[in-house]
Amino acid sequence: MSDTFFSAAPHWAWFIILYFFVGGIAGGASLLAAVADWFGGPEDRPVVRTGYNVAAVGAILSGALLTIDLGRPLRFWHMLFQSANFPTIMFKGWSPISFGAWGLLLFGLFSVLAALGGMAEEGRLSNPALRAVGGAVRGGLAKLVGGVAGLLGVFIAGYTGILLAVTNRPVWADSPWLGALFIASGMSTGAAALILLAPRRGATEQSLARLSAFDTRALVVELLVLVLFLASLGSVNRVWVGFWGLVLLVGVVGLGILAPLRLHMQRRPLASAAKLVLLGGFLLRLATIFVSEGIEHYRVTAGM
Amino acid sequence: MPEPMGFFTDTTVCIGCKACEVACKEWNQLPAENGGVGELSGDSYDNTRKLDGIHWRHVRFIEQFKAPYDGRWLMMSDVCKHCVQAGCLEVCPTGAIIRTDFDTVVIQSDVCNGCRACIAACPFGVIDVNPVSGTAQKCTLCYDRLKVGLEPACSKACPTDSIQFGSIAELRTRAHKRVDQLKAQGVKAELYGADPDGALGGLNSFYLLIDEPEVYGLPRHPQLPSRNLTKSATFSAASAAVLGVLALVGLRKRRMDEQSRGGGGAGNV
Amino acid sequence: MNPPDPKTKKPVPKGKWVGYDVPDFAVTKAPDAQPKPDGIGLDALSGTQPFIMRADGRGWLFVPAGLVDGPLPTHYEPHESPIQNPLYKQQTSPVHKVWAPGKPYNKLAAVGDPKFPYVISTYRLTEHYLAGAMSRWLPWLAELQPELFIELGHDLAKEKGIKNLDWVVVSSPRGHIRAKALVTHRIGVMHIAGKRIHHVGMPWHWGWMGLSTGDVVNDLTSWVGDPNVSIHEGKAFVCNVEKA
Repeated sequence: MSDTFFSAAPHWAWFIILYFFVGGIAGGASLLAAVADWFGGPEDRPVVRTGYNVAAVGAILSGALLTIDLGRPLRFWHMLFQSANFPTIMFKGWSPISFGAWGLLLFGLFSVLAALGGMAEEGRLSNPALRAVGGAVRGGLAKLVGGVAGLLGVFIAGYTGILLAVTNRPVWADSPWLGALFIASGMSTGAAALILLAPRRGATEQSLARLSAFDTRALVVELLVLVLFLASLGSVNRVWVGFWGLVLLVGVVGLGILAPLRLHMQRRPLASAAKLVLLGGFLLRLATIFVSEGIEHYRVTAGM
Repeated sequence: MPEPMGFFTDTTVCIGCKACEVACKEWNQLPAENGGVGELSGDSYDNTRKLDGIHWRHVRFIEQFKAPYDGRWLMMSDVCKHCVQAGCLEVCPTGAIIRTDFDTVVIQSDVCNGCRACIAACPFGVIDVNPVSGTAQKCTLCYDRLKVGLEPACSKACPTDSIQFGSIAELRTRAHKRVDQLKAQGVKAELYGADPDGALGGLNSFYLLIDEPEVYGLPRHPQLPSRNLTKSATFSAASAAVLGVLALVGLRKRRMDEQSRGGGGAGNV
Repeated sequence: MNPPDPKTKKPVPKGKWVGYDVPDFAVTKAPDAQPKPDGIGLDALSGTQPFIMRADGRGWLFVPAGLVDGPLPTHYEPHESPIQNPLYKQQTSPVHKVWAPGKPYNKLAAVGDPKFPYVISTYRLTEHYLAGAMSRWLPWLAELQPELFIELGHDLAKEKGIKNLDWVVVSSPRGHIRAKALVTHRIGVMHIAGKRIHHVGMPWHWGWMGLSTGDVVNDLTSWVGDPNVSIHEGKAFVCNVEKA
């Protein structure tokens, strides 16, 4: 029995699963927006602006979800500043939760700025204060802010997988591939979110087609990394015998990866494929969290 | 600076009386689960089942019988191991978990915000949330009692001196003597966590066991969570690089002649 | 020269009793000391009369008066038993007490009654105290042992189709109660007088009030008692166990 079976479950459940999902989308959307911003053409602007907006909303939502999940939500700031020595910074470079909290804060800051810049570009800001900020984020500065948001986005999408690995929990700490898997999933769900949301901002058929092509490749990478993840679990794979294994196989692989791949190859409508990708991304977080949450030593020895 | 203090628990003289569980609850004023109204677990005489936010001591009962009346009943009082290299302390993002001047590991209840990373990090599954405070709680090795020169409540209550409190150096000497004594009697006795060069730099609450650690619900090779950091981060970076390149190639601005060739299709995989 | 004190390993001054135990009598009284002629209390005892609770300072194997049985103990079967006494024709103690004999509320099983084939003992747990009227109200104790249970062996469990934590009905000639089964190898089949007898056991701490409640095990025991001090025969009588 792996030594990870002797640890206790941290009761990370729905808020955390949603955060991982939303954070992945926000991170993926943010990177795609930054790449399109730096290297794309003028026809890609709708995708860029949608991407930064998704990132900003996702970042704020992520912060809210994490705060609500805490046992003492009003103490969320204890992860950023030493509570006994405010304003001394609280930071541990070797603890994913610690550097993740700061990463999320910075990602929120930069993605909101990038989003404001994009909305100012569209002329959609009515509030004078926001218009002022958004107006300042233009040109070279906007690209810089967007670039940083993109890089931080990748970090946000993947660090949660590292966070799960830096524990002693079964499945999570039994493989080094979770972070890589979450990044791949973040990218595929981020692209899917943009495929669904960018049209109403005026995204062209070409932009959507390119996003869809990227999504296809991201799904292939995701499937590959999922296989590597499972292979690395070795005998721990017995945890999948049961409901969560079914969710993984049918939900994540079947509905979330293979079905959208097939749809893409048949040149079917992009929207349905994108929705399936989002479903698969959510089910991936659901299955990986809950399969481990159900394992505790006394339950294992009692044959539960 | 006082020297490292802790527990040596000789499980061979534990009688399973649970005085340690009750003394701990009384000193720390921990609530009973569900007000004391519970159900029989069916697991020998153990109705506590695991250490958690309101159970900081847990007596394990392990029945090893080949046939009626033929076997033995192992008993062991489980507690936080106060590791010299503590996984919980490592990951705590608020700095709530600290090492005291007695080399024990304590969670400062006014700092903890209940993120529960420590629960997942502990190799022994010792920590859990106390529903009253909403924060993570565990054995403090009675830090408040040690500060005024008293011994912890559980070791004071233990009627057989199974739980012994003292300086780690003295306890290790005593423990090795006891192991030798038992081995001379033909008992398969081993110390768990008494080796400063062993797992986690040694445990400041270490045990004398007469069977494999797994029998007592203890991991054979407890490790720090940070062992996974480098590899996990490297693979994540590699994944990010691959996807970043794919994004770059896929979304970069096309040359005019590409665009004129039938409006960029759904792409090849 | 005296051997060193085994406890402290230090040399012992002459004229002092040493050892792991703490003696009841004067620690400086020599083995050849004589009783004082007008001595009162311990002074009336010699160095070879250490049993200070008796007037003559000597250990007694039996008492000549004050007990209704004796002088030496022997084996009698309890009033209810699955077997004949393998040692004597006299099945049970001829002077043990039976209250309300023949009354409907004190029915007693005949030897080897097939309706009640198992031997049952009642005993205590560490977590509760006596009938539990106090301990079952204390949350820290109630959660340690939250419910009444009957301990039975794997063989009996298999025979009667009882799984761990199943509700069972335990009956005796006086009545029946319900309890959860705790199936264990710590109790089980014994081979006595050529028969295969199942042994079961129950802690008797439960009643109907408190944080932890359960049936009263003494509803099963009989009004049969010890010849001298009348303690009722709760440690060994007969019962039946069925899945509820």
